[in-house]
Amino acid sequence: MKEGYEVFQILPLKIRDMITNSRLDFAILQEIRLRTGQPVILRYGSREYFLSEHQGLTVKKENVHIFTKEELRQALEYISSYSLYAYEEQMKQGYITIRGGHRVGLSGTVVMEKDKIKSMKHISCLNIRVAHQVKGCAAGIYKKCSIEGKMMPTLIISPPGCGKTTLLRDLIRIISNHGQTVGVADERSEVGAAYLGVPQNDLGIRTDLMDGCKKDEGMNMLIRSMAPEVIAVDEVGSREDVDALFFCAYRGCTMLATAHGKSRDSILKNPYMKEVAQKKMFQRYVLLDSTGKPGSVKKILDENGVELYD
Amino acid sequence: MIKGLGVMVVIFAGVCFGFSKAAKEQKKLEQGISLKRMLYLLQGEIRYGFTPLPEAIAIIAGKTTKEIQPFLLEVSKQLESYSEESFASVWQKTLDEKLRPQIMEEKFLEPILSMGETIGYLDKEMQEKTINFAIEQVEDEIFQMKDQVIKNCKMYRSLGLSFSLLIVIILI
Repeated sequence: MKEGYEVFQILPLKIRDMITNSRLDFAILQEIRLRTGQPVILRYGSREYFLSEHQGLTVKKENVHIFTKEELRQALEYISSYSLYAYEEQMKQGYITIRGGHRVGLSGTVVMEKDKIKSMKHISCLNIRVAHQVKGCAAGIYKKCSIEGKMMPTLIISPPGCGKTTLLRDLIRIISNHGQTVGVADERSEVGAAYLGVPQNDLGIRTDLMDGCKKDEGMNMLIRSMAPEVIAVDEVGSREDVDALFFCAYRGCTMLATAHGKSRDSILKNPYMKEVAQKKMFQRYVLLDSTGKPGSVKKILDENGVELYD
Repeated sequence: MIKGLGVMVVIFAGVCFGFSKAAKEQKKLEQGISLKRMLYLLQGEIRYGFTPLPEAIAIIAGKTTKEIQPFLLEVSKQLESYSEESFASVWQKTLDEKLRPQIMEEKFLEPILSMGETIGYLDKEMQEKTINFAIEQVEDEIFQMKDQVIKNCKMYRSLGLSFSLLIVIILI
């Protein structure tokens, strides 16, 4: 199956043809931004391009393709597999995860009911963030964050778009293939990209996936049902997440998680994560470089925040 | 001896003709019930698993009768290919190609067709209401047809016998 076909499939037919004809290298396509009445913008490598009506990608603003309302309707049909009801909960959070683990961010008018988000209407902007599986990209991290073939509790920290999830996915695969049982609580279906319950991404031979479940509940369920040695979870930070991390850690599981932040200190500004750091739940902090290539590691710290060198 | 045999053959053929016409009438009703069951299965998939339509339709295809199965499989295949602009157009085209030639009573197809125009839109509650509405319409058709089908079945069976006897009397 052609790489990235899931991303192209959800595009309106005309844009799909235009992008296919431009023969893009999917491996360096980062995101596609679609805004009604505005040009289609692609982040390709580290640069931004417009989609030209005639000649693929361009940096010039002339003769660029303007995203129409009808194309938005079509894209929404494809993104939701013609079934918006199936993504009600995800839409409340402002995104839909499509097959392949790619995330589509949505913005429009939010419908409130009793101070809670009920749904979203008049959607006008889409941001398709392309997920990549880069096998082997976490090998270096595994070396530094494991001892005698056992993974140490590790937190990967970076701002959005720096490759946290890609690294986490590969780390899970490596840990699992090295002999430890891994349980993954995959709330947004981004890590495993499960389809009909089966992970579409390679997560290793000893990995159990709890897909589409809230992180805290997923972790608790995994502990009770699958007896994992390592529990992996993407983007922690809330009170519930931290409670569940402690629940699992006290039961002897090694925690592997990611969090948004620029440094270990920025994580400490979150009162819940501060508690995690103070109690030394994680023995390794992996900081990603936001200026370099996605997934490049800036430094690795120990539980006291001291940098580890080779 | 030959005359007796001929009489038997004519009566047997008449009765068979009557019974086959009655079976066809019965089949109309059974197809209505199968379509109703299909709608219940679809409703269950959406209600229980929030399953998106392409998956839900593929799953229920395995649980439906052989007249409906090719239609559902084709719809699911078309949806998975993301080559059509809307669900309604896939549903309508495939219904015309695969289901209409199979279903003997046109009236059953109308609610199924109009359901395809609105399903997938808005939330889960809306889907349930849309499917429920289609089920009610199919049920109404079944209810209206039921007495007529029973009468027709009796009539065809007795007509088959009566006509064969008439032919025998005329010929003798």
